[in-house]
Parts: sequence; C-alpha cells; structure tokens
Amino acid sequence: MPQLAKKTLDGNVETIILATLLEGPNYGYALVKDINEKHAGLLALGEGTIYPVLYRMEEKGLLLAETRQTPAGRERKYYRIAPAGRKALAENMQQWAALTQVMETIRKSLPPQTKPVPKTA
Amino acid sequence: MESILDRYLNRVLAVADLREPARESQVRQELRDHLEQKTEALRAEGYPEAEALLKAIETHGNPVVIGYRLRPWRLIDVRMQGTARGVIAIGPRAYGVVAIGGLAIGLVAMGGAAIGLLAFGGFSLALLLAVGGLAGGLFAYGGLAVGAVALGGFAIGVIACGGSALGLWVPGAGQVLWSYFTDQTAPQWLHHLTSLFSLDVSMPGQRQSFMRLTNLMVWLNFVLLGLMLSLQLGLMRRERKRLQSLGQQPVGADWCSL
Repeated sequence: MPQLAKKTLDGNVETIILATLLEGPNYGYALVKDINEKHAGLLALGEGTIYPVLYRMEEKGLLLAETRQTPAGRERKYYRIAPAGRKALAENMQQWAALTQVMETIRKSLPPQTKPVPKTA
Repeated sequence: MESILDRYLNRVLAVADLREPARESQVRQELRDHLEQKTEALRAEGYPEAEALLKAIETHGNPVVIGYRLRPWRLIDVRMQGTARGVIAIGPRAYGVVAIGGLAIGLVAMGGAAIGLLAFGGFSLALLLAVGGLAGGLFAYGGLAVGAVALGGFAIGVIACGGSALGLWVPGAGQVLWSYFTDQTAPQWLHHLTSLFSLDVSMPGQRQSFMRLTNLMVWLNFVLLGLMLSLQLGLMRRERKRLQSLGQQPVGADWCSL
C-alpha cells in the first residue's frame, strides 16, 4: 500500500480514531499502538499528538471518557465512541465513499501514461 | 532531582498553559502513563532502561508542539510556533480579531502576509484598507497597489494614482501606463471619488490635499505598525517570562536539551 501524504492523514485522524474505537473502549497508549500497527505514519509528529485530538473529540461530544483502575491500582482514562461519534463516523464514511467513487471515475478516464505506475524496488 | 520524564512533562504543560490544576494533573497523569508504558515496551524489546525512556520521549514528540496543541482557546494567544487563535493572536500563523504573524488573518492583520478588513504587511490583502509592499484592497496603498482606489509606486485600480499607474482612470501626475477614461470622458462619479480622495494633483488645490492624504497614510501606517509591534513584543515578553517563571527555557530553544 502506498504511503499516504501527511496532509491527507491530518484531516482524517478523528475518523481513524472513531473507527478504531468501534472495536471497543480503549486508553491512549493502546489506541496509539493499535493505530500505529494499522496506519503507520499517521502520528508522524509524535505519539503524544493524539492526546490533543482525543481531548478535542471529547469536548465535541464525539467520545466519552471514563476512569478505570489498572491491576496495579493506578487510574487510567478510557475512551469510547459516543452516539455523536458514531453519527460523525457514518457521515465521514459516506463522504469518503462518494469521494472514492469520484476519484475512481477520474482515474479510469485518465490516459494510460498518467495512471500511477507501481514503484519498482 | 527532577527526572527527565518530569522535565519533559513540565515542558509540555508549561507551554500548554491549561490554567486549571485539576485538568493539568489529569493530562500529566495520562501522558506519564503513556510514556511509562512505552518505556516498558521498549525495555521488553531489549533497550537499556535509560535509552528506553529517551526513545519513548522522542517518539512521544516535541513537547512544544504537543503543548501548543493542548492549549485551549483563549482571548490572547501568543505562540512562538504553530498557529495562534484568539481575539488577539500572535504567532508564526495567527488567526484573530487582531492578528500579528508571519501569516496573519484577522479583522486587523499585520504580518509578512496579512489578510483582513485592515491589513498591513509585506503582502497585504484587505476588504477595506491594505497597506504594504504588495497591497490589494478596496483602498490599497503600497509599492504595488491593486484596488478600487490604488495609490503606490505602481498602482492598478479603478482609480489608480502613483509613480506608474494603469486603471479605469488615472488622474494626476505620474506615468500613465493606461487609462480608459480621460479627464474629459471620465464620468461624474469618478470625478467625485477623485476629489474625495484628492487624487488629482494636477487640479488646483488638490495637490496639497493629496500630500495630506499620503502623509496621513504614512503616519497611520507608522502609528498602527508601532502599536501592533509594541503589542506583539509586550505579549511575547510576557509569555517568555511566564515560561521562565515555570523554570522553562523560552520556546524555540532546542527541546532535546531537556
């Protein structure tokens, strides 16, 4: 899979977080680990940059947070997707589906020499 | 002695300036938890303890970038990096009612590139008044001025006046590159506008008024630039002092020297 440009990823961090949290509530570090495994390069500016996004999403009501005790007795903040988050995710997915369709139509209409060529090693 | 982890977290939170102790403590706890888990994971991969912590901090990101991203919206936002947003915004990029920065967008904007209702800068674009090296606006004044009324070394506009000018009507002195109307064919409303701004220096009495207008523009520019620069320097100094009072180096210093 080609590496996505930072600007493409930047606008979609929230969507990726929402999609990741669909699998169940999670806390910051585990969420970052999960995202790094599935979407390498998304947090190129540092893993810590996910927290401002999480707080912003919490403020917007897209995420709900709760504090749980770890086995070691420490408090840990878990995030789960809120109803507004599910709605936002569905809307974003619709937008992406529509955009993908448009781009696919454009791609098919391109003359052969302008179509992307797979990189050789 | 303060650990390197604490120094990193202090740096993030000093820049973030959350202003609510409970909130700050919660953020500190969450970031610390993340960094400790990351350090553990790296140790499990075979990194020595000290190296694992440094690596965890490195992958966590620049504390200034994270701190600024954590900073909530505020009336006066002064940043040395990133984008400032506030009623008064000062930063490399600034969006606000009064915006000062490399790129400034606001009602009153001043900067390298300024966009606003009133804009002053190297490149300024304004709905009302633009003053700058390159100025575009309803009323534009600058080296190269483009606007409904344009005054400058090189002026392009409905009414253009300057060293070299081209436009619908180019009254007064200077080199006329192109003018659609002449003094005889120009409609009355153009004459009214020209008199209003005293742009036709060839007309008796208007040369003095024109000089007054250009002097006014120069002074307005000086006063506004002076005010904005004082505001910028004052607020940046305050921000630097705040960081120093928290035992932090001013932002811009190498973050690796934690």
